[in-house]
Amino acid sequence: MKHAHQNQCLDRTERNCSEDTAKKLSTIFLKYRKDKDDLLSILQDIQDEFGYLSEEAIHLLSKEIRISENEIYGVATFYAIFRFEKPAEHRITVCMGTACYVNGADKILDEAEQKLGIKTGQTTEDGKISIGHVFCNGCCGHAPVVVVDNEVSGGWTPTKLDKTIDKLKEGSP
Amino acid sequence: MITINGKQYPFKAGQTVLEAATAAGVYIPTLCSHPHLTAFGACRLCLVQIDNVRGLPTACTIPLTDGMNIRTESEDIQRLRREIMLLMLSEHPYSCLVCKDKDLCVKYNSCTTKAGKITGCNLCSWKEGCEVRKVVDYLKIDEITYPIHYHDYPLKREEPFIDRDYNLCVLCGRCVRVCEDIRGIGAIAFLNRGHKTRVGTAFDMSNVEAGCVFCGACLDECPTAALTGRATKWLAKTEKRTKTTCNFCGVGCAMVVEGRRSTVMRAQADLEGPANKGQACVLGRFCIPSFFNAIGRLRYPLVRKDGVLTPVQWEEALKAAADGLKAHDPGDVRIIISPQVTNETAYLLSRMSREVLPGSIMELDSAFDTVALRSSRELLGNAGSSGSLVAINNAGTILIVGADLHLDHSVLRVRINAAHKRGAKVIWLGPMPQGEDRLVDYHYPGTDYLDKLAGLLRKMAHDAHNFEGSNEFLESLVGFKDSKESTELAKLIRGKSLCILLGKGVLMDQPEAVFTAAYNLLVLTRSPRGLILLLESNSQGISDVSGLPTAALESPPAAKAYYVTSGNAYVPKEADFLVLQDIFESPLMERADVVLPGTGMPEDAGTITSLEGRVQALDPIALAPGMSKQDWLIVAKLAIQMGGAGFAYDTAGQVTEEMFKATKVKSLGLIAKDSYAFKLHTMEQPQRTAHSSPTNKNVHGHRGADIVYKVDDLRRLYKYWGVVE
Amino acid sequence: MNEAAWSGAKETWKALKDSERPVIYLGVASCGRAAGALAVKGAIQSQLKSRSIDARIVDVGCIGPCFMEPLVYIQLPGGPPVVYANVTVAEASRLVDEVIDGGAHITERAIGVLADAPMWGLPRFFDHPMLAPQVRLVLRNCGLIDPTSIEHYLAMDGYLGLKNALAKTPEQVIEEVAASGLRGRGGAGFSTGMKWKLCRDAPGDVKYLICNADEGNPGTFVNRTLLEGDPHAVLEGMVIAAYAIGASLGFIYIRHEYPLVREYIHKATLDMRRIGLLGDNIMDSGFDFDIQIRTGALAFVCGEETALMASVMGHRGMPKPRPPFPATSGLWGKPTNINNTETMGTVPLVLRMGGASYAKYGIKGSSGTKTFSLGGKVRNTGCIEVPMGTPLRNIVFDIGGGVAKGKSFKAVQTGGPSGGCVPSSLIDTGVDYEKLTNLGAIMGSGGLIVMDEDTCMVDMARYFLSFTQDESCGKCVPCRIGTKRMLEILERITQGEGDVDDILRLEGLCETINKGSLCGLGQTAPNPILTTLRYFRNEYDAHIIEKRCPARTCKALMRFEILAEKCTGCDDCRGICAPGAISGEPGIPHAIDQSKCTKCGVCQDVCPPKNSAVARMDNVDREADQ
Repeated sequence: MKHAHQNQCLDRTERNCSEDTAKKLSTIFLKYRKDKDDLLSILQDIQDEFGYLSEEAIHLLSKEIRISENEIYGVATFYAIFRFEKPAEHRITVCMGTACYVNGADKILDEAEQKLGIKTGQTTEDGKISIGHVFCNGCCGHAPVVVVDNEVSGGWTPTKLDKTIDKLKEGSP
Repeated sequence: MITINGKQYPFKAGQTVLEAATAAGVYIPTLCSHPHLTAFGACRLCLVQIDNVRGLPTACTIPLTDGMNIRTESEDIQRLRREIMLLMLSEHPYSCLVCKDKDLCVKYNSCTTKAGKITGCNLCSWKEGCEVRKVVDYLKIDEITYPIHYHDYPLKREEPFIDRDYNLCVLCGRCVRVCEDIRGIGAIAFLNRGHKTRVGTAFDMSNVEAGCVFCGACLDECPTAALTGRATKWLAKTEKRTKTTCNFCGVGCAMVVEGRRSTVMRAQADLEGPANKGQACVLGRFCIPSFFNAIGRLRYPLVRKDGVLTPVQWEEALKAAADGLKAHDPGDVRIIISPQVTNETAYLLSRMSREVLPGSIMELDSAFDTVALRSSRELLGNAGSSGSLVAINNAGTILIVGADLHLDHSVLRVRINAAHKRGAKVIWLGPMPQGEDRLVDYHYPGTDYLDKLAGLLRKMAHDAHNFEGSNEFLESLVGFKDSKESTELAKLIRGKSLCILLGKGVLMDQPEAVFTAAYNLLVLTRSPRGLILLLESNSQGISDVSGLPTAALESPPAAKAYYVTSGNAYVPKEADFLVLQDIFESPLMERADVVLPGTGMPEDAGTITSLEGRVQALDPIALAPGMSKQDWLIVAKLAIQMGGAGFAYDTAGQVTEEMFKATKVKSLGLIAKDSYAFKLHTMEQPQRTAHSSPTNKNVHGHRGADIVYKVDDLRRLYKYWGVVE
Repeated sequence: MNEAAWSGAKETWKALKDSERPVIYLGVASCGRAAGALAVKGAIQSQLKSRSIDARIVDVGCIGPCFMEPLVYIQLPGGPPVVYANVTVAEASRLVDEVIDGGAHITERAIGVLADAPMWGLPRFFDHPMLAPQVRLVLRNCGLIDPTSIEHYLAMDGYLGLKNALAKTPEQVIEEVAASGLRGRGGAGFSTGMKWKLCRDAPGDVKYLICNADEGNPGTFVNRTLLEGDPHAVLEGMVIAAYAIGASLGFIYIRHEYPLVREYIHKATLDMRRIGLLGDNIMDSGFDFDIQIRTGALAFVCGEETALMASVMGHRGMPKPRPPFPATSGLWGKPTNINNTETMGTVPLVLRMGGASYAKYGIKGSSGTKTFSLGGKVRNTGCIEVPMGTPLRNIVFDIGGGVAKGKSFKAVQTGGPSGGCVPSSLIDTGVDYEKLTNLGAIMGSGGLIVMDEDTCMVDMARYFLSFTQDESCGKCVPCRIGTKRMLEILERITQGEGDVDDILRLEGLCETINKGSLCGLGQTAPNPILTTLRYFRNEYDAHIIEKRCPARTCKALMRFEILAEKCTGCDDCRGICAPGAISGEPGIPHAIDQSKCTKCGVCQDVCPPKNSAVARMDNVDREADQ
């Protein structure tokens, strides 16, 4: 039949998605109704599970909740938490909230950028460390604040960060 | 009453300030609003002042209340608009917009040199239509204080049909909204946020991969040249435009076509089109110029001389054709009508068949349309759809059977999408293209339509008792089986008003029985106007003016002489005389004795009738190439040549007038549907015989040619979709 | 849910206070954790274990003074809890050894008792200078109860407000809230009673409620403190609000950076459902209501009501023009009421004490108390609560203890990126909605950032613009492009490349963006610039005309110099200087090679305070020198 073309249609997912990924995704989908209202929550769950939003995951999700991949990607790129590439082994996030900024957070970020030779939002070539910034962690009483691998702590100085990076490079946080 | 700039105007409830102002002829600048889209409020140019309303609200979003006093042009507002526009222009190549020679440039430099990057209007192909220019002129901006910020987005010129240069994009969002809200596709979306916001696809995949169907709606919405039609953008300025009707399928989309000299150059959906309401599909939007201007058009009448088709004058060709046909007993003459010819041509052909060749047999060159029209005539007493396209919008449940709405009749998706958004359930029986699942609540991929529909009828059996013929009907259902699908379907259909779209996929099953089942479903759901037949181009009109299709014959006698208007028609090898009237060279030419070059839609005058029974006019924008003539005229001249009387017409309009008097087609517009009595029909018992696939091997057969093979970009798209090799 | 629940809870609470075992209260809110509270907790636990001491550890939220964290209060049998501040891991085991095992408090190490009167020579903790001037209504339970225990909340008369509310008609509840004069604590200060009434009166059977816990203002953490210290207060407020407006479903939209809040709220809603405070027939009143948790995903603009609703529905958080207002057409087109976390947290109090009694706090027009997060260059950082109308001077100098490190006070920034800077000359202004708005600042959700002489106000304006620019949703032209153009101008000025027309350009852009933008984020984006232009015009002029940064923080306009007369050649700076710009031999004054210096300031950080040999200089001085 000439217009039954969906059978021959290129289906990226079925080609690329590993069984394991599909399984994990379907476990996440089970928690929700098949409803686009839950999109943001599902995306957060996917990122929690895989560390980032992959093309395959978004493709499968679009089939599940029946909205286009483009729309999902549009929603995901609107929100700053979502990543679309495998995250680095260690992530340094410098808080740039007002309290941290007036207490010299920019210098700490500068130090990280200089030390690693990358810009905020980038990952070192070996995929080991990435640096980023966030506008406020809500721990302003301890400014300046830095988040190293999800652990928030206060009272940072460029010197302290310098030493931390050395330790991360060696492999022990 | 409301007051705009000191003058009083009436208004309708629910209207926005912008709508009322537009209706009153008061111009309010805007870039992000469009009559068909919901208000967005992003461009901030339609700011107005309203007494007792805080701040400067946007006219496109503020609903009117009685007594509103609105000012649209105070000095404050104009200054603010100017500042906002300057900001927008700081990210849009603006140098030409404030050039002192702007007007001269438009006058003397209308067509442009081909350029890669557009860095000013002088290199832009969309000067005439550009809405940004219009606003700049209105606000009298003659100086821009910001340096140009050029985003330097890569140009996207690898996709079919549409070139994209998002450096010109002003992020009005009309393309995104029309794609998502009106078309229900979502092939593009806003990505990122803040200053990095742009329009694009997931992971920057190509638009083809992202699910674009290239309907061109985004292109028509774009106020700038961020989106341009590749095939037409660098052509010279068009000289004329007119409204006509697309006949690539049976939807009957009203189109605005533009041309220059003898050629059609651009086609766009008509915002006021009753069937399409400003929407088109890839065929109508992009393929009209490319197809009809493609190589291989027939230009001269040809007569086979010594085995070779030789160009001749019309008189000679008509004589050869007439002599050949007349040489046969009329009973041995077969006239095959292409669904693409006009009502006038079909009317004259049927007159010719009756008056000049009495006893000759006419056929409609479409297997599905023939069955559909014949069955509907038997069931409803009226050949054609039982309702208009509004039935789709109003339905509680829409049942799509054996159709492929990506390829054919895809503008109907707009109505299905609107209904779906409103809450209607959509059921798809048969193979479904990828991406359609967004629109569909239940999908059954099999082609055993009859079994599924009959099973559904069984589920709804106890609704049957109120109707005439219920006993026989119920008995006739005994041979069918239940299935879990039938149960699901019954849940979605029962108690709702139903609209059934029947497409040519039903030829895979027992088409007549499928039609009967569909009809019975309409009876049981009390949805008399719910049957929509997805007919080809003008099959409905041809049926209306010629009485085709005739009742089915068990084994139609073979004919000896053929007069066909489509190079696609089936003509047996044994035929000893063939007159082929077509617009493109086709395989059938090898066997033709006489070839008569006709005309296509952009060159045609007359009327065609859409699948909902809407009679619409064709207005020629292009001249027929070479010596070709409009088809009705060829038929008339041939009839005269064969001794027919009353075939002398000067214009197509005279034929139309006569046709309006002589046939059931009485005027332009929707033909009123006869009401019909609800009566259940017995179902044919299922036969387990294999059915052949449709004989027509073309994807988009248009007379003797296939649009896909004439339009490269369409072929590329269909190749990706796996429709063609 | 009946009276027994309260009496049972009170007994549990009493048993805790009269415990035979020592009780250790640990402040483990996010701020405490950032200060190392979990490590301290671990140390205490292991020490207790190794010494086989039977003691109870109770996790509590933050009482407010973040600068004292980690905070540990130890309650020995028969006595009140004694507060130990800034406890280190090393000290933790000492506390276990000496206090818990030894049975006596280390009074010289402790800073106060949580009792009604001084004891053992220790002052009341709440008499601490940072706490004494405060009036703690909303934060009353924070840091004192276990936020994961619904019993603790009930013991503090929790859910009595809801009980009172359910005994009234919804209209009466709204009247009560209106009588309290409560205004939205999220920034704009719209009357809460009025807002509820609009939603109540909107036609429609289905209505929704949203609690905005997406505290996105940089430098603000009042909502986090409340939610991590006393989550039930906010949830109780939500149930009352839902009853008043007739909502059947509520959403609490929690900021992504607050995982602890998410955890606590999740636990709290489970507890509420368990005892019939959520779900069908709440407190046998026939009222049905439930709460769903939604997590933000880092978008400041989602604090805007229409953007917040879009986000709750899973869309891009792009605001929509109003009308229609959320009260008539919100989530899924239904009437929706949105309140800030602190507003919700205040509601139970109003219903418990009565609107008129609540209105006695604060001043006319701005009643009640307001929480602020005090941060920046102030000595006592933390979350505080004061009556409306309290002068900023009292907040900065009395509660905050003045500017840290002996620097001089320059300004206090309120309202985050939508607010403005109040200069020292106006420090006596009382905090209320109107007064702050008149100054060009706004109340906002409660961020108060103190700035000293080292803060460059032009750079602050640039900082806030870079924030709004980053967080703009990108929908409307003035905000998307206008903030970018403003940021470019400010960057130019701080680079020393500004020209005199830049101020005019900025003012023009401010007006365009303020009047032309779609939503509050854009409309208020110019505020940081407008207030700095208003109060610190001289700093702009210095940057533009003199090419000088008065605070000597704008890198392009300053340089570091080692003062030869002060430098002892200790070599601390030379070793740490990453680009190797410092030269010198140990014992001999060092010098900085300006061509190599990246102005990271590390040398100044490491220079021993007794020397203070690294100084910041104007770059122009050097040019003049040459």
